[in-house]
Amino acid sequence: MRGGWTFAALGGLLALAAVLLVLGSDTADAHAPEGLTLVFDDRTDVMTITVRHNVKDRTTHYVSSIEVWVNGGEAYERPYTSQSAGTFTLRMRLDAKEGDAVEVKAFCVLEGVKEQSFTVEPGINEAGTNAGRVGRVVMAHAAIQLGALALAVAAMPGGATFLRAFRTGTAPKGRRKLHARIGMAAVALWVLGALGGIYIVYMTSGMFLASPHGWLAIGTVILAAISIGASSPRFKSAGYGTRITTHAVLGVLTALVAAGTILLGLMAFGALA
Amino acid sequence: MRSNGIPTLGARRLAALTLLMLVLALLALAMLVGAYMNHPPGRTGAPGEGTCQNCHGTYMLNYGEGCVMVMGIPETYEPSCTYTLNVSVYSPDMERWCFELTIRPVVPGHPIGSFTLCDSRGTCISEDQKYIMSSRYGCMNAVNGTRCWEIKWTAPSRAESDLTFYGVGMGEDGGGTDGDCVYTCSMTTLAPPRVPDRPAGLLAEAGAGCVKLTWWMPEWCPEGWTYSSYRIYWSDVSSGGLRMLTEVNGTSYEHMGLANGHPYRYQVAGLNRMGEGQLSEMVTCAPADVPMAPRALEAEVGTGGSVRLYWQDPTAWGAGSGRLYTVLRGEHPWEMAVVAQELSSPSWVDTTLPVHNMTYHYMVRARTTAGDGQVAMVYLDVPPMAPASPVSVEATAMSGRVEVTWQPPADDGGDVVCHYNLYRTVSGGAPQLLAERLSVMCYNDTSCLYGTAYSYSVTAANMAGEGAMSTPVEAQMALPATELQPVDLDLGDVPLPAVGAVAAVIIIGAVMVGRLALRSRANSRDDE
Repeated sequence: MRGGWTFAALGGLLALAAVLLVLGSDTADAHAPEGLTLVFDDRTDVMTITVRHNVKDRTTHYVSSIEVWVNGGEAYERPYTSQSAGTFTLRMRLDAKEGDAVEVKAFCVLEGVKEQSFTVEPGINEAGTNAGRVGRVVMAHAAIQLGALALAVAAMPGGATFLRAFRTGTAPKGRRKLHARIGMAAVALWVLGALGGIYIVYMTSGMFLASPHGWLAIGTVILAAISIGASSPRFKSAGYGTRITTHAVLGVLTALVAAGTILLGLMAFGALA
Repeated sequence: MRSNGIPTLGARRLAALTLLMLVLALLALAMLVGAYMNHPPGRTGAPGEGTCQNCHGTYMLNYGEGCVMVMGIPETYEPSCTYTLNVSVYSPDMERWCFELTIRPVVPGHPIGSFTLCDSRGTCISEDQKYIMSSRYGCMNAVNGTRCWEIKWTAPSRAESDLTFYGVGMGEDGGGTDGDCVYTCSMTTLAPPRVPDRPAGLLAEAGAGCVKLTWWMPEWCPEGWTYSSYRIYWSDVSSGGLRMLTEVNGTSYEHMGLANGHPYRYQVAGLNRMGEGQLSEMVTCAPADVPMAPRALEAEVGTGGSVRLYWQDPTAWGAGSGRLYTVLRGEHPWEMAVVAQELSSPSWVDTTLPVHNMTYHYMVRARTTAGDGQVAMVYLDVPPMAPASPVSVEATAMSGRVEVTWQPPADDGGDVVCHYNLYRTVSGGAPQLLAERLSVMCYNDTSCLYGTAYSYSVTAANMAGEGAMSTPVEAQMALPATELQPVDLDLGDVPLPAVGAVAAVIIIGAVMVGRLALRSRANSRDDE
């Protein structure tokens, strides 16, 4: 009997919880956006607003408008009739100067508003849910690219050994596989760093093709791929000497372009300005 | 009393008692200091200020047998002379006694001289040097309910105004403001007498066989300078020197029995107990059969701050022809200037008042070919007008606000501008009051929206009312934010040198790899 009472009480609690869940489901579903991240690049005057508002039905429950206020005055209002994704981005050119107070509000069509604000300072301004992420990614991006360049430079002595052996007609003493792995690792890091760069551009200006740094980065990755391709066994018939010479030239060129890319990146970030 | 370092209950009670005693001692000290602090100046009962009774209001003013007296004030003061005055407050059965004394000139703005301390411990002078009073140390030591203080007063070097001393004395029965008695007194010392000033604006009006003389005395003069009478001097131009015609008490005289067309000269001098004053300026007049004075001259304030004058024709135009009128205006009857002439109708509207909020005197006289007739006079207090619109109104769109600034109106309507009102118009609508009773000449409109055009107007207001709106100035906050679309990337943003360099190295790489591939293919064929 005692076990029966226990199961009955448990069943009653579950039923009550189910009723409360059903009755309160509408209210519980209406909520302010969970995340609102603001990134404003003072140099390009571009502000990227990222809103996270995960809902089941994005046609009836969505972010209805995003308002931008500058120094207490409404500067922009973007209405929405639905939501394209759980997390979406609004990018705008904002003529704000150092010291201006910027406030962004994201309204849920049902209920709730999410607000974030910041005061404009030189450089990249971040506020909101993921504030500071862009800065961290910038640092990681720079570290990865520098590491890749270091690996590329580290691979060069090994490659030079093979080139010297070919020219002198002696047997190469280097470790070919180690040279290849270091080179592959460098290229892999460049690609990984490029992904970080894409994120940075996406979160700041969104203008992927507008910076020399970006173009040189593209050139670096393509040249690295070509350089690796030149050492491919597919071209074995072309002769050892031709392959190794082509690979060496392209490898050095890739490293030079990578160095230029890093230099421009540092300049763009303001480290060398 | 202590156990393991923790205070026992007895120690806590002792500490609480000590704290209570300390608080009570501080309260007592504060009361003592408050009681001995100097009273605020400006309580002498002089025009425009109250007395100590405003705060110490237990008894009516001058209640009981006490009094305050100032002795040593001369009946007539000598310029720059220093007098020793004795101030005494009698208030029996009190614990402290204090006083305050000031001087007011009968003619506003005239100097009052200066006070000097004889007892720098018992008396003190206010910062603006207008009041002398007992100090916090000078409130004790009364004898038989009377406390005396000695002070010095130096008369002003310009002795042109009678001076009135206003004193207040108070007997205090202890702390607080209850139970104190307040007394006041006032005495006037006269400016030294002198001969009358020169009569002003001697006016000679011709008549048929007569000359009517009118002159004015200053609006105010000290008692010792008043005119007891006037002496009129005249001369027949042909006979030379001036001689006394008569002595009159009023300020006009009609000289009869003269020959028409013959010029006569006149001067007037005031006379009092000190002697005869300076002669007025000389006027010359020839009797003639000229028009009488216009009748029933009236003046009233018209619309827009103008003054409308109207009158009736004189009873007699005299012998001449060509009936015209001349209007003169001045701030004083002795400073008149022609403002309109050759008027044929008996009315005129003065729209040329230089300032408002002032008394203007008007004279109207008829004129014929026989000469200028006698004058009719009237004066009118012209009230202030609403001020003109503010000038230099500027509206500057800032980030998140519009800043509106302006400058005071060129014409304040004769009264000081007391405040400004700011109006805003949205999209060509009616102006709406945005801010009122502004005492500063700038305003930050933070309620405006980006992208909306606004126009702003400002009005100035004084006691007469609100003036006209200034010319609207427009401002619009530029929209600082615009959404960026992917297509917003302009080709001009693409860094062509970087693109070219990248293309070049890629082409180089592609050519080299292509050459490698070609050679590889050729060698493969050779091997086959």
